Amino acid sequence: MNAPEGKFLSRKSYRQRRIIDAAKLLPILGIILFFLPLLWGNSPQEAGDKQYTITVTEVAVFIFCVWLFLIFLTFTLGIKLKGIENNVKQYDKSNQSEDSDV
Amino acid sequence: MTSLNVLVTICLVYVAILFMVAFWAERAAASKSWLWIRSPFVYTLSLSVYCTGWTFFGAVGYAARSGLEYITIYLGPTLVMIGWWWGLRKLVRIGRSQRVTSIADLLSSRYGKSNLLAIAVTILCIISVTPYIALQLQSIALSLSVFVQIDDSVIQTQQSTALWAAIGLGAFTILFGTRTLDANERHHGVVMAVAVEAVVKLFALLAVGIFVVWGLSDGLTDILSRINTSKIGLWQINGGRWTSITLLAGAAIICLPRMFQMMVVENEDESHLRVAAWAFPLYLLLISLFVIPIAVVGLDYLPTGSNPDLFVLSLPLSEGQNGLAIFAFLGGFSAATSMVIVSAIALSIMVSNHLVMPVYLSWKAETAALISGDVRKLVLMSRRIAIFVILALGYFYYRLSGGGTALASIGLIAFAGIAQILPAVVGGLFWRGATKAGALAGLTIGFIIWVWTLLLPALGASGALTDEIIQNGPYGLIWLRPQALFGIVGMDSITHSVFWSLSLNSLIFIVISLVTFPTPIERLQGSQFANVFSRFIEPTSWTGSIAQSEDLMLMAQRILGSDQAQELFQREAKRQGSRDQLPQPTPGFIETLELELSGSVGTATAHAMVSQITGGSIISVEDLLAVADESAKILEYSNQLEEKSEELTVTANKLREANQKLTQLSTQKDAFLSQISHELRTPMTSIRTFSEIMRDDVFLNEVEKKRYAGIINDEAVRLTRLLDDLLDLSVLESGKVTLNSRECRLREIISQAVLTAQTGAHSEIEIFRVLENEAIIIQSDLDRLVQVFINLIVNARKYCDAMKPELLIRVHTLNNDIAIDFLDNGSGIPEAVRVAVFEKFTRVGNEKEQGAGLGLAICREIMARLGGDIRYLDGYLGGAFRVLLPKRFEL
Repeated sequence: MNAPEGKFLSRKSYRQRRIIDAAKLLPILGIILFFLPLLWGNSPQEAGDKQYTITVTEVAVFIFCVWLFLIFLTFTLGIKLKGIENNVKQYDKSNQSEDSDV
Repeated sequence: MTSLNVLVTICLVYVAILFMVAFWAERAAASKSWLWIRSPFVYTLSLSVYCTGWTFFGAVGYAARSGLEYITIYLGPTLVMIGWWWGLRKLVRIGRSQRVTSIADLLSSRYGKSNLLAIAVTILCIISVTPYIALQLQSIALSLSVFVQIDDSVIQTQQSTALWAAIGLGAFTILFGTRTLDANERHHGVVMAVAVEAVVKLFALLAVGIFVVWGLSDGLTDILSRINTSKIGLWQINGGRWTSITLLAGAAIICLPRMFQMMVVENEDESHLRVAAWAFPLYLLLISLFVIPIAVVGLDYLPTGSNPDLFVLSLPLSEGQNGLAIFAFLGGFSAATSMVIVSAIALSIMVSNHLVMPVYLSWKAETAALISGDVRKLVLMSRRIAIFVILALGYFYYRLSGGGTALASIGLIAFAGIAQILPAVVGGLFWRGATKAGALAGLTIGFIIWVWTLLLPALGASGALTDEIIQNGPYGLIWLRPQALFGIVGMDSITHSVFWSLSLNSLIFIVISLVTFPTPIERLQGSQFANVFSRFIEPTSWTGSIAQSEDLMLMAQRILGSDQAQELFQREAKRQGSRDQLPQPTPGFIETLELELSGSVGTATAHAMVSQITGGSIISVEDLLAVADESAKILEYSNQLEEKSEELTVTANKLREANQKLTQLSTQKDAFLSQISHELRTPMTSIRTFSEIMRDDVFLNEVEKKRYAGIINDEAVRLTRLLDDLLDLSVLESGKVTLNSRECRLREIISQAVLTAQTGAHSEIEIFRVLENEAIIIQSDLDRLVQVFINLIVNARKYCDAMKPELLIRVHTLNNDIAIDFLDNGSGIPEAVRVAVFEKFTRVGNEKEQGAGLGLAICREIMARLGGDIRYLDGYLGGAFRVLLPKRFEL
């Protein structure tokens, strides 16, 4: 369906803006995931209780998986951003004036 | 055991290969055969200068001591890289557009081209990085000593190794780092060599890792169970350290001089960043993949007490894998050398641009400094000397510290020191309100806290701080204890220092920025930095005369080299369309020149040099702003004048219009007077005639007398009515009429009007009404309204020429008005006179009927006063008038 002009962006530039949003949100996702293991921490008094302990390998595997996942996302977004980079000047400008224009 | 000589030979051959690579890359860059050098992967690999000897050897030692925590060193940079769209993209764009040469130059440029700030950052960098360089020398020496343990003179060997390594690295750095004074400060040879070394160190570590996992253990499952049963197998983490080290590592990848050099200054193409954003995290992932396995297997296999920092080497050696051990050694050597080379280049640029040149300039200030003596040579020489001094400092630091401390701790301390630059950088990039005073204050506070809480306690063993001070604070001030500032105890020393230094640094930076006022040039630079994507304003700050072109040319030659300078000047001359060799020193050109120069000697210095030449005729930004201010005032004044003249024109037009109106009125008045005289004269004449007859003719009988007196009386009545009407009209027109507003049903008013109009008439007119429609309450001056209605009905009665005159009074609502139509079945008013029907003294048709033609004029005036209207309706057969009344007319 075609949206009325002026009020909404065309499908293509809408998609581009969402890709830029994704690229901006990526580090936040990274921070959340990389800091997740802090919440699993074995407190010292529990350390003796073998039943509920988390091993370094589990955490390491988790972190490396997250790492690869983030690299993959950055790679994918990087390819998508390739075309956008040139148009981005415009976006940044309009972004400063108003955000409602989406 | 491999003999020392073989190892040294291998090192020399390796270095020789690096020389060749660097040389080839320089040649390729010079002949513009870019293909390889411009690859984004070379850029990515060159970023691996982040992974130093500390990473290579120290990460395993770190993991052996504290488990998975080592990984934070890589997570920080990963987060910064994957967030490239936010930060690094902007940083690189600014770096390229402002020709920034170092992190110190970046801050100096952002904060009003201030050299003071540049000096502060340079000193901070030297203090933080020197121990780091010492660390690399130590790692080379230590790793070499592993191979020659049987030798008695281990210490001596180590020391001499470190010395020779320092000398060799110095030579390489000078050769490839200070060959030219490139306008862009790019060193293709060095970048290529670093990229090659990146590959070597990655493969070396991977090789050792694969050997450990599949050679010494039985594959993945086995290594995982080994890790779980080892002493670091349990997941135990200090959240504060995890957070603060990730933060430090993230800051380091931006602020470390060598990282800034590789990432921003050596950046060939902004789009390379897009590839590096995923490729560099991948590199980091690979290089940290086998760290824990190596650490765990090392703890298993090697005798207790062996240095975990050297597991990478000692594991293959203890298993007799000499080839692998040598490869690992080369990997570590690569990591250490690339770090030292790039750091030395970055620091030497900072020292020459921000310490040596300003001193030289101020020393030569009185004489025409830049025309005498070759600045180019001076800059290069100062860089060479700086490289040697930096390496010498590193070496002496290594000798003094005795090389005992665990590698990783020095690395972290350096990171924490460098991270103090972060608030000023981030604030500078994103916040226009950040000021130089704020940056300087924040930096100073952060630096002092860092030195007090981290650097000095770390040097504690060598006696910089006594135990007494660490325990009880200086002069017994408990709250100033270096490791428990403000009485907060129990924090890990790194977390403690990072927390206090960075938070107070940021706080002071922000507060001082808020309360101080930036100079115009700071504001200009601030907006250029913060808005680098939305607009790129060329700052215009200079002006000069043609005579200065020659001086500028001389200076540019000394800094850029004569070929490059001449090319630049000729290009500009061509652009300006002048036939001379020298272009006009237009502000635009001088700005370009300053940018070019700042690529070689730094922003502040370039600014100072150009200002020395353009000397007397410089218009500073302050002056410019003053001029702008003045012209704004002039503009405003002229705007005011324009406004006033427009006003005058408007007034004149109004006057002209008024005059026209007056003339028209005067004409109207004349016409009115003549009309009036005419109207008055006709009855007057007949009155006079008949009264004269009655006076003079004595034979008049009674009947005649009575008839004449009747005529006189009729005429007098007509005169009175005319005068009444005139009076009425004049009152209405002058607006002095007082309206007496009341509420009443419309039906009653119409009935009253009909009654009055029909009374005493010779011929009646039949009137039709729709009574239901007339049940509307109106508010108006009822007497006046009745007057209008009567007038209309009487007119219909008088002028309707039908055989059987009929009048329809129709009431209906029209938008917001009530419309009362008076439609008769006569022949109506001829089209030609319809326009004039409401004018004074207009009479239509039947001349025998009395009347001065004022009735409709009065009706119109009344309706205007009542807020309504009266008009003639076209399109009906008979006469048709419509009275419009506003609903609920309020007075």
